[in-house]
Amino acid sequence: MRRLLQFLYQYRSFLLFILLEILSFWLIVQNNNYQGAKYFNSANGLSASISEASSATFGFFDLPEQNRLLAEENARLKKMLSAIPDSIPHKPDTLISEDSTIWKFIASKVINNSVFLHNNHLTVNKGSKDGVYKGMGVIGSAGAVGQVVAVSDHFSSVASILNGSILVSSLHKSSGSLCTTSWGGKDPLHVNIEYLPRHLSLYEGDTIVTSGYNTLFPPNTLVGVLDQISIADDATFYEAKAKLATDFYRLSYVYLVDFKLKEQKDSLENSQVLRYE
Amino acid sequence: MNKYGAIGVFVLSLVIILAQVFIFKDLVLFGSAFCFFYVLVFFLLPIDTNPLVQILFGFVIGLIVDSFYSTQGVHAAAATFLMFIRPFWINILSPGSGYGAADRISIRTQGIQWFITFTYPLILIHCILLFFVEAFGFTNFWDTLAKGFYSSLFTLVVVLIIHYLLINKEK
Repeated sequence: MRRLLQFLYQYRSFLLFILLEILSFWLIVQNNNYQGAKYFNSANGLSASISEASSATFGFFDLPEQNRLLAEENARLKKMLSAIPDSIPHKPDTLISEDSTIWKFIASKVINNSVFLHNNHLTVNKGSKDGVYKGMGVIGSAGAVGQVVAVSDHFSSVASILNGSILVSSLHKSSGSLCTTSWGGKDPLHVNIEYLPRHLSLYEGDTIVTSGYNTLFPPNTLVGVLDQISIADDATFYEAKAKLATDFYRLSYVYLVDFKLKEQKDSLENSQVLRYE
Repeated sequence: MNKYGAIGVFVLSLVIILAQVFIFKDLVLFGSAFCFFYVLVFFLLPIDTNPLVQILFGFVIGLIVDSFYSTQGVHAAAATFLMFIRPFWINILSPGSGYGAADRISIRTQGIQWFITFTYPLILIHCILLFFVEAFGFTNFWDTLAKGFYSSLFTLVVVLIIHYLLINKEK
């Protein structure tokens, strides 16, 4: 017993080192698994409120640009609105009115952001008290942004599309073919579009939108436009890259997407999976 | 450090970390050169600090920086390793006459050449380790390595500049 204690004492700094490394890696794995260790992420009270103060100060310098982006979005929405003909009599249509309340959006400000790491996150200033929950999708004024991974009372941490562990179920719009969007880990402006089969004809400039299959994003939310397309002679799928619609460098305001029927859809699908397994 | 003592280390660490997470966090050159100049607080610790305290100090500082970068555990892992090897590295580089009256590493007492010889390998290891732990694997091996290398150069330059500023204040 004495020998054991002596041994422990002799190597105490090495043992402490190993212990702390295990602790750090445990935190990293927790984070990657979306279990979200509660206290050391950027949604925790102290660091989030400090980040918010900082973003409130530096946000001023970006106001003209943000105004322009919001004005552009307004213009786009107005155009969509005007495309709905006035001649349609406004009868209370149960189908449409129900549909429009299925998707709800919570506007929120980005107070912390990163684009150059391998797994990038942003922090937004809405939390569980505002109705945010883990797993919500996040979109910006231009297109898809990411997914909420951790929530505190007033802040949430979002894994952006520029995160190795985020995959977005997408559609090649003109053909309607299903594909997957993932990030290669290098270029914050581009994402990989995977599983587009060989028989399709792809062109640069083709639009990639979300499929809406996984209840994260509303269907037809813009992801990006194809700009590099190649296929090896013996490959089944294209290797394609798309330029992201969202400019992550200057992301300032986002909308958290609340899909009212998410729980219903997910539990139904999960019960089916269990049955056939 | 005698005239500052533990409180001095604490205040200095606080200032350096606040500067890191507010100003230098968003300062990324060419999309690959990050600045992690907060490692300066590790170099400024007195030489004879208890190794256990050093390792714990590294871990805690790492966690604080992590909470701002949304990278839980990544900086903590790299900083813990840095503080674990620091005492060995100090012993290896020990000048023939020992460190004499100087109780901590500084450009003023050891000279700039020795200071760079001491800090650069540690910064390089820290940066490379950091990016590999962050990527959690060896995909994009060369990109990750390049990121670590460029970041270490940028960090060294900023560490030297800030260190000179601090020295001048002491006089």
